[in-house]
Amino acid sequence: MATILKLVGLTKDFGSVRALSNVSFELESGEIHCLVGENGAGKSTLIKILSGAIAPTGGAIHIHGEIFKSLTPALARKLETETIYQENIICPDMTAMENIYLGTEYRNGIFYDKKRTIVEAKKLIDTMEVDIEPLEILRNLSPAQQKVVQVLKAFVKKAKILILDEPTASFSMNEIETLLNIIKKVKLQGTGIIFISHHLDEVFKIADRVTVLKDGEIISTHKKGKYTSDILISDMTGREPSTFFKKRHHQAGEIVMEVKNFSRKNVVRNVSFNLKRGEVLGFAGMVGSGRSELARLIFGADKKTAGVLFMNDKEINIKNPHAAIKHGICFLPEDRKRDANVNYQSVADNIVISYINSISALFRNIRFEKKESKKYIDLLKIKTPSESNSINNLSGGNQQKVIMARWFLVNSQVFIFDEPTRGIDVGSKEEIYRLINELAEQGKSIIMISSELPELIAMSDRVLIMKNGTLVGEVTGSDINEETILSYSIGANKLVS
Amino acid sequence: MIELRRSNTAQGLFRNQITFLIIIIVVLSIIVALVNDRFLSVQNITNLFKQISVTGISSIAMALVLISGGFDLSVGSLISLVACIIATLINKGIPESSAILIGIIAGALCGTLNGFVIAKSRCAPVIITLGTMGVFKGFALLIAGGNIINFKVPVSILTKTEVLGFPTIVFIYLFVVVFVFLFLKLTVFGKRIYAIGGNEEAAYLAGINIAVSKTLIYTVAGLIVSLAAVALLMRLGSASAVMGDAYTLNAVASAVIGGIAISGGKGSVGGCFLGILLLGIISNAMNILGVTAFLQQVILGLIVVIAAVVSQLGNRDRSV
Ligand SMILES: Nc1ncnc2c1ncn2[C@@H]1O[C@H](COP(=O)(O)OP(=O)(O)OP(=O)(O)O)[C@@H](O)[C@H]1O
Ligand SMILES: [Mg+2]
Repeated sequence: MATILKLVGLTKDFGSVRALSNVSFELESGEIHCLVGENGAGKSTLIKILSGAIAPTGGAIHIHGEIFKSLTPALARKLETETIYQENIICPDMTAMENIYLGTEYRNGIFYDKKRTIVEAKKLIDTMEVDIEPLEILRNLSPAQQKVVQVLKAFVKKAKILILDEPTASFSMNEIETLLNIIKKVKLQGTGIIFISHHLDEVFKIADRVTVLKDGEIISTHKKGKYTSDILISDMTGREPSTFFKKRHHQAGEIVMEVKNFSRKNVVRNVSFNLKRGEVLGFAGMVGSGRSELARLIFGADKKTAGVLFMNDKEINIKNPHAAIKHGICFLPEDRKRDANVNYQSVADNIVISYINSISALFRNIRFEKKESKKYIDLLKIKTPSESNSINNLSGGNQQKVIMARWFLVNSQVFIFDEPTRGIDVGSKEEIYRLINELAEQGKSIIMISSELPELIAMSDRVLIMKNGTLVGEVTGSDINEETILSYSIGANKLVS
Repeated sequence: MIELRRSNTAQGLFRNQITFLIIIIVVLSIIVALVNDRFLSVQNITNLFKQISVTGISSIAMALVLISGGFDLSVGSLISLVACIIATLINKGIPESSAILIGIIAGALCGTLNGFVIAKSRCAPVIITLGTMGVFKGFALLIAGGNIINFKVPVSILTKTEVLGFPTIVFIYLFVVVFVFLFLKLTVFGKRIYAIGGNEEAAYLAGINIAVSKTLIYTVAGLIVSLAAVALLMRLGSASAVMGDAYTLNAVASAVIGGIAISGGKGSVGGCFLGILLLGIISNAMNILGVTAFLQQVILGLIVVIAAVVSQLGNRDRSV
């Protein structure tokens, strides 16, 4: 195998922050090279340099034997490098097929040869063994299918280098499996692949080599079969891995919230359940099963078509999030970048925004805001030069942590967390589990939606399973295990309760 | 082959638009002062501030709306309407202070109308205020009957030349600048304005009542525009239905030069103040240097374009 990409002594400074420091890295053709590291380690910065989005401060990039000081997006494309960012940057109103063949359409003279493209698309989808209707509008596909479309696009272009930044965040296990299989097929074509992930199990499945970044420096590179997850974790965090998931002493109290017959069109259908004091209630199900939508209905973010809500035995009417927070319900949305980041504002302002809205004060208490922000920056190990840094300057995972902090600061009774650890590194996940457990011990109630079954199983006192907008099962005690939950969410079991 | 890319120092320099504006203002002032020493005379500086006051006040109103992610095309018409209301009431024999107060309240309510419709309909603010621009102008025309309204009774407040040593309109302007600056910095509501502009969905999910907040924002903007109307009435000594026309676009231009993002969530009163000051210095200097009015138009237009490009340069790094 030939080396197609070599980075030599790459350095990148953002003002006074050194995001990458003297990084050297190699990629061979037909290799999957995983890149792991804590939030803010510099992974995304590295790939942004390779895609030409930003220019390095120093060092050189060798591609196909040519040497560059920096790249531009156009140059990267000419060098047959394809980058798939975490957010889907594609054309949502075009069909899956049009997206796959964007720029490589089959032509008839100057005309677009639609017939031939359809035939080829069908062939491609068959050989890759994916389940996508080529003429479906992209917007209507699930996030996982959209990601697959992007990978297929790179495949069709016969890209020499393919880069994926956290492609599997919040996908279900099956979806991850499908995506990994496709990526393996792309690799067989001779493409060199850089794959960033916080999920070590994925890394074990597909990596030929794995490189660990920490604080902008390369710590180690391991060959397949030559490392364990303990080794990776201690390389990433610089300390010995501790045991995960310390189960909390659980004493669920009286019913705090009762959801009755919640419905919204076809997304949520007649859902009823209750939530007890000091309980962590898990919600399992496939992406698109209506869990996030249900959460938004409870929070008043969307209008429900039917249903009543009781808090502490009193019926309450929540018409918007503002009212929900007043009644002691808060909600961490799944897509933080889209639904939670207040752009251009400082880390501190992003942390305190809900808090200062929930108390009825006219003037801000800036000293208090600063103190609390600092506390959570320390507690969640948010990597930022100061609390007055703009949130847009933080790494993806650190932005997530800022939004978590926002809700820990608000004095709520019910916390709804939608994918609370998405995009968060292994070490910080523990801290978030600890904070959630602490809330439960204080008598708060938590609804936790997660696609990561292991964390859902370890954290929940009770798990509800949703499918196609309805509740299809409830498991407690020793039934909280992967097999039982999966059998419900796939549909092997009939409705209980 | 070695590819060199344009160096990043230009980006660094432009990243902080405030610093950039201060440097330009200082350099420009020195150059103009060297060419013509009249420029730095107390009289000319006072003049300069008088010239920028009305645009300055309207640009603060515009800045508030822009920071919240909105837009207001009705500023100019509202200035005319409020001025016509005040002048007509005074001529009808209503005490001057009451007339001014009624005018200001009416202006604020027009802002409330803008904000309420925008918040409830979720239509683009440009479209709604395009409509209300016509409505306000229409009312102004109805009141003034297409004429210039001169005062038929003696006025005292509107002819007062000085407050605390400042020319009255400059005083009003500085008062608005300081007030809005503190308002944005110190109040919870100020923070909400930035949050709504930075990401409306996020602000909504963070518990901000968007409809109430937007209505309030446009109300405050309407209130400030009314003050601009009072200031303009003082300068001109008469009212007409077209007197405010030029101010909408000038307010946008100076806000943009001051680093306020049209897309919302970004910008400060300080930047807005410097933006208008820069525009004022340039046109004042062109007057002193005898540049013709037509050429001045061309130059001022170019400056807006350059300022927009420059503020974009500073953002390059973040665009992915
Ligand atoms: N535009 C920017 N301006 C200033 N600092 C930045 C900018 N982008 C990134 N950084 C800083 O560079 C460092 C590396 O960030 P990067 O996004 O590469 O991390 P990452 O490894 O991708 O982390 P994550 O797992 O959280 O996505 C971080 O400390 C971050 O704060
Ligand atoms: Mg990243």
